[in-house]
Amino acid sequence: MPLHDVGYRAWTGATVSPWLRWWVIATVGIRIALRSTWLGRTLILSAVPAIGFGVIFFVYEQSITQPELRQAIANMVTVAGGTQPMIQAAITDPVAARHEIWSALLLAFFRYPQTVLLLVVVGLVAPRLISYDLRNKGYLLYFSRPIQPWEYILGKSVIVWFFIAVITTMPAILLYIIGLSLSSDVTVVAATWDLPLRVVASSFLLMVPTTALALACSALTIESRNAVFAWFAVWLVGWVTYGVLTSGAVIEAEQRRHRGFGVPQAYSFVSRWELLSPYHLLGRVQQWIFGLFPEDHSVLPYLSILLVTTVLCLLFIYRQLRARMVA
Amino acid sequence: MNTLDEPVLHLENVTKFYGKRLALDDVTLQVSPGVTGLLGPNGCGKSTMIKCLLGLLKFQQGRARVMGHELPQGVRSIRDAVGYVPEDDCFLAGLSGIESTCFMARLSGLPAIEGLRRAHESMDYADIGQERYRNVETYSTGMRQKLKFAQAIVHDPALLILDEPTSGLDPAQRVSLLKKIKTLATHHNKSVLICTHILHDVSQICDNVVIMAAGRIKLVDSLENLSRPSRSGVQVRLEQNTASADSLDSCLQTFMAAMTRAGHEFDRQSHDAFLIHNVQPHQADSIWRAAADAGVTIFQLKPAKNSLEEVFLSAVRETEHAVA
Repeated sequence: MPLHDVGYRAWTGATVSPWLRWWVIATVGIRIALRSTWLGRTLILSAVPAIGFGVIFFVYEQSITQPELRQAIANMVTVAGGTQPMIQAAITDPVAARHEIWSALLLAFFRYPQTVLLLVVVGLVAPRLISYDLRNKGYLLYFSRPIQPWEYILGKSVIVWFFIAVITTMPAILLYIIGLSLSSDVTVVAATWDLPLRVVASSFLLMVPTTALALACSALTIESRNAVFAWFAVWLVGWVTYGVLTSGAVIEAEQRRHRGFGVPQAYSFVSRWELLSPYHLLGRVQQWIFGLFPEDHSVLPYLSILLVTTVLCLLFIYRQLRARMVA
Repeated sequence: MNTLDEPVLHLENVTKFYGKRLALDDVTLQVSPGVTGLLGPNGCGKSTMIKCLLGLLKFQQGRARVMGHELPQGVRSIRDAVGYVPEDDCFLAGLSGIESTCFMARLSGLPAIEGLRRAHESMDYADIGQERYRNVETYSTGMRQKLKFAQAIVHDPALLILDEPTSGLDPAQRVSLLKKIKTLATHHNKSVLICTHILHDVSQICDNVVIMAAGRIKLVDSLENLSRPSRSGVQVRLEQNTASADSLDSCLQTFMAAMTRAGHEFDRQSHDAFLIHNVQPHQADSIWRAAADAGVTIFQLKPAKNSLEEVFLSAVRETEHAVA
């Protein structure tokens, strides 16, 4: 029993802007997500590739003054998926090729280690964001407050965007800064000033559709484990389908490369089946953003698919929320 | 139109369909400040009406105003002014009780620090002690009910809409919560719409009663009016006279025969209780005589009153007959 109880007290303070409620959903969601030990470990792991790519940037900048390092750079660029002319340029004139090489390295960073880590991080964070609210009827608590469905979806999306930014945008920008600081050439800023903007644009195109897809998986079910399964299945099925449908063409291209016909270029092999695989679809759009997209092809189908997927996913989430109100 | 004064809720010809099923049938209602009980059988449209008032569901026809704000344009202002306790067991996974309440405060626009302070205050008021630091998933049903109440009052709303607020609470907690709700209404000028199946709760704290059935408003009146006797009469409760050798049943049969002979109309309300019509307590000589002749003792005789249960059942039966 309390010794003194003032009972109920009125509140007469000023409220914050009504248009920033999504921010509250986002910050609280991020705090809850960060309590996961596995997520913490994955975020730490996601910094490892950045260190590796930092070394490549360092070696590249050193190769400008130390020509004996250029062959090593050529090998690294080959591994990163660089084209033959790009590799030649890196050997003959690394200063002139800097923009293209840096773009290729940043794209490789985005496309290979970070996209895989993105799958894991989003798989850890996103599936429970809506499914838990559906299972525990938390949506009634949200929507009895001055919150509209679009604010709820935006708030939940920002949670996923934050973690995608942590594993992609932030390390990529850091890589760029490392590249700048390790360069002995002051013209590097003028030559590469647009790359941070491309990193941001690339991150944006990675974040928006993947988040919409992940949240749609989460809104699909009240069991978060089913949402996790759906999330990974979409990527895996797309990737396997693409692999099966294009295996013949890839083998042929590789054979031509080995015979010295000069068709290598992982980047220049374009297949319409890429539209079936989210991984390849996103990679192609990022390639376009970094200015490495094959000139004889159009990026429009890729962008259209991403746009349609995003809109359909958002509509699906909205519909699921509305449907729950009636139940 | 059912009219009470200065409405906090105003519905005019509100009609809501779920597909082809009619959930709210041309509902017109005004609810005045104070504590109003919303009664009705399961599936009669109470929760649908509440969800419509909060803008959670859209209605197809009619107009609705809550605290002077028109729906659907004023839905943000309405949700700012309303604290809602949902009927369902709902919570936000991964948060402790205090975090959850603070989160609700911030969603209603309170700054972070103020929200935390206010969350502690409302949890104190809801009698949630150190459990507030535990994860809400570990809460019992009663604790979750108290948590929902704390969350509903955290932003100091002018109107509370409470859907089955006492379900899952033990008797002591129920009495305590009802007292708190009454205090909010009487001392802090809050209006309360309480939706419940427990008629006793309504009779304890409500000023007005709304009864719904089959998606329609069947009755709106003050509790005081509903409790007035509908016609003159007395209620008597009998027990066996210790001097009588006959069984209670046979004594009661004799009593009923004597009452019929004396020309009284009566209803048997329970085994040993009778409602005798058209007689005032001071004109009860013939009842006393009939009891003495039958070998039973009258241990209670009082003016007849409508019970809320009778009013409720009568309103619901009317609807059932109309539907049939």
